[in-house]
Amino acid sequence: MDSPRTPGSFLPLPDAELEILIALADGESHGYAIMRAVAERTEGRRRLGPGTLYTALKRLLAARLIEEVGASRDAEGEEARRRLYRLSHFGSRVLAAELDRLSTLVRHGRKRLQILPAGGRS
Amino acid sequence: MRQASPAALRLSVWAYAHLLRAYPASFRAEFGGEMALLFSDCCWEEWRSAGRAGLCRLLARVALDTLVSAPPLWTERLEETMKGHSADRRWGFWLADHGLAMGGLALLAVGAATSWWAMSLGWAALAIAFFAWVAEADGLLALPRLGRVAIRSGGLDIPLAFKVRRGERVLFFVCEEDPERGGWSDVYTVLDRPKGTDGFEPCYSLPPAAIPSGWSLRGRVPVDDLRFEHHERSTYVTRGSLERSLSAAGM
Repeated sequence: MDSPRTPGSFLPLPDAELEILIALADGESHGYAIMRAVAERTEGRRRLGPGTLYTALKRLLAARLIEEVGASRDAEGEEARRRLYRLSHFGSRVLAAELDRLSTLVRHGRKRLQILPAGGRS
Repeated sequence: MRQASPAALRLSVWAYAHLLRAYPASFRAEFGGEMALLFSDCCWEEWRSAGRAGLCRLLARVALDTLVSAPPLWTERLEETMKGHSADRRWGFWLADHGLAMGGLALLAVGAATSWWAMSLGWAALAIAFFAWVAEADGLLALPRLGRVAIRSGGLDIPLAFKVRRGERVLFFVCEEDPERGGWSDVYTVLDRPKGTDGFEPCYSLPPAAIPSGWSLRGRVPVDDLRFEHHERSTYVTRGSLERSLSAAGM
């Protein structure tokens, strides 16, 4: 029998996968919308290319952190070729665990910076 | 509805459709259409905001993105090939083992005709391949080989016992004595423990009389289900045969 899947076993998440999970936390979305959401949230500093975006989506689908929920529809109501993805229940737990891990890291980092002697920062 | 595309935009979309060939066919079949659609949307966006210069920047960014994202998919594809048909597997293993030296030779050939950096890379690849081969022949190390796991076999063609890591677990395969046949059983008993835990390390040459502390019994796997490979002084078990035999045994 395989060991049970725990959110901790997926951490730390690679950058692109974390960005995608955060983008999908707002609700279901397609590739282009995810890419726009990441670029807007990071004020253009992080732009996911199509290769990076879809290899990360492939990994997240394989790990069942996200699910495919059908195709989007265009303005005329016709089914477009864009597939929609959403965060799975387990994916939400992994995202929450990763955010907890990062906030602990930030908290400790800030604490350490404050106790450094003056001029200790390079 | 979109207006007719300018020529530069159509050319960019055409170029990207060709760039997509850098990805394995299975990946293209699953995501290629969407990637092309996404790229086309990005082209329109760049065209509206920055014209031709924006398109050029986008193409450069996407080419770099392809260079970074395609190789890991090919590595996965090679691993998959090695788990499949035995002829494909042999080719896959051969390519994985000789890829560095072959790549080095190819770079030397290209470099001789074009540029000095390809020559330097080619020599570097050949030098690494050579020293890795010497180190393995001397028994200094077991080279990491794609699709295979290095094990300590004690110099036997079919090891009596060996240990491998699988995810967060360490598996220990051990043959038991078969008094009726007067030799070793043709089945491995598989024990496991979590990775990184301290505990008794089972003996490699003799099967344990009882399950040692810290280890738990997972099941049994026929010896014939596992494929072993011998390179110089190192022995490997193929990952494909390992996974297949473990899943057949319900592990």
